[in-house]
Amino acid sequence: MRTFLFLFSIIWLSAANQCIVCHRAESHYLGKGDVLKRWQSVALATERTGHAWIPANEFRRFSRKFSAWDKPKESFYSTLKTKTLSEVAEVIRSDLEGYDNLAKRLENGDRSVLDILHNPFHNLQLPISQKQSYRTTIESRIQKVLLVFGGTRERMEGVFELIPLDYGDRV
Amino acid sequence: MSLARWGSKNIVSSGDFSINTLGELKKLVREKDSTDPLLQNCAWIFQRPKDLNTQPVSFERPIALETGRVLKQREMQARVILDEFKVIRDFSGIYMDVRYSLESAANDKQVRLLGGAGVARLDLSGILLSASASLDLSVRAFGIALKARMEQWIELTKP
Repeated sequence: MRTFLFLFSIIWLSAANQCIVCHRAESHYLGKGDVLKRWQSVALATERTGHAWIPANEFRRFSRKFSAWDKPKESFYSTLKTKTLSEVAEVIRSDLEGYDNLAKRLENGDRSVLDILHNPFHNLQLPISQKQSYRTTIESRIQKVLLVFGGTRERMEGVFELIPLDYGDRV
Repeated sequence: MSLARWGSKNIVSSGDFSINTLGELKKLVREKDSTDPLLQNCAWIFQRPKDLNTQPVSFERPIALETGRVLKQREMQARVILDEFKVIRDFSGIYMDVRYSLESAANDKQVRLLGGAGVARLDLSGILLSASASLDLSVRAFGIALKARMEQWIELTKP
């Protein structure tokens, strides 16, 4: 019995410290890299999945490299503070799609674009000749009187388009 | 904007509004002087407050109500507090969350505002991606106060 307990504890400790299957595959049934990125939550992962994780440093000793350990890319908003206007324009062109109008203005030295990037709620920058289609729903519910009389529930839907116009109200 | 509408009331309404690049509402035209809350609220939601910065901002904003047999009041004036701007970057891109709460209503003949809140999401160009708002109301009818709730959602379907 004592031997059995000893063997069990060795197996349990071993299981609690490594899961070579998941690391080697760089994936998990919860999603590729998802759990690997959160290897710190060893106890939680073990509870939920029966798998446990080796700390990243242990794997680095064997020169194993996983994308989940890559350093996160530089934050877009930190680039706004440290880079020149043309460098920010370059970041916009490489990182974001569909913001050529803003990149172009930055390249022409328009600093007001930085304010727009910091707070897009401040200023609309609709691309000319690009329609935006929206769907909207309104729902109203009014309580019944004495749980029996009256009471309404209505739901209405609509679609609309937002079309940029020039100063002469032309499309 | 033109609005096609369907629902239990089988009403078709349309109209258009214009907003300049500063988010100011320049024109709101309703066909046959209809007071369709869908149309009006869309115009008022797209309208931005002036002099917006990242501090909490409050402003007066009309809210159109869906009237019916019980609810007669078409509109109320509410005080909106924008309490949070959060710039978020995820796999779908960079966007901004704007959270707001509705604090009070100025005209409360039949309807009283009990509370309200909403959230809007905008992309870097300032284009609205989605918005939703809900109002908790107390409606005076049949000599008693009834609780009511109105919600509106807007979502971008085709950029």
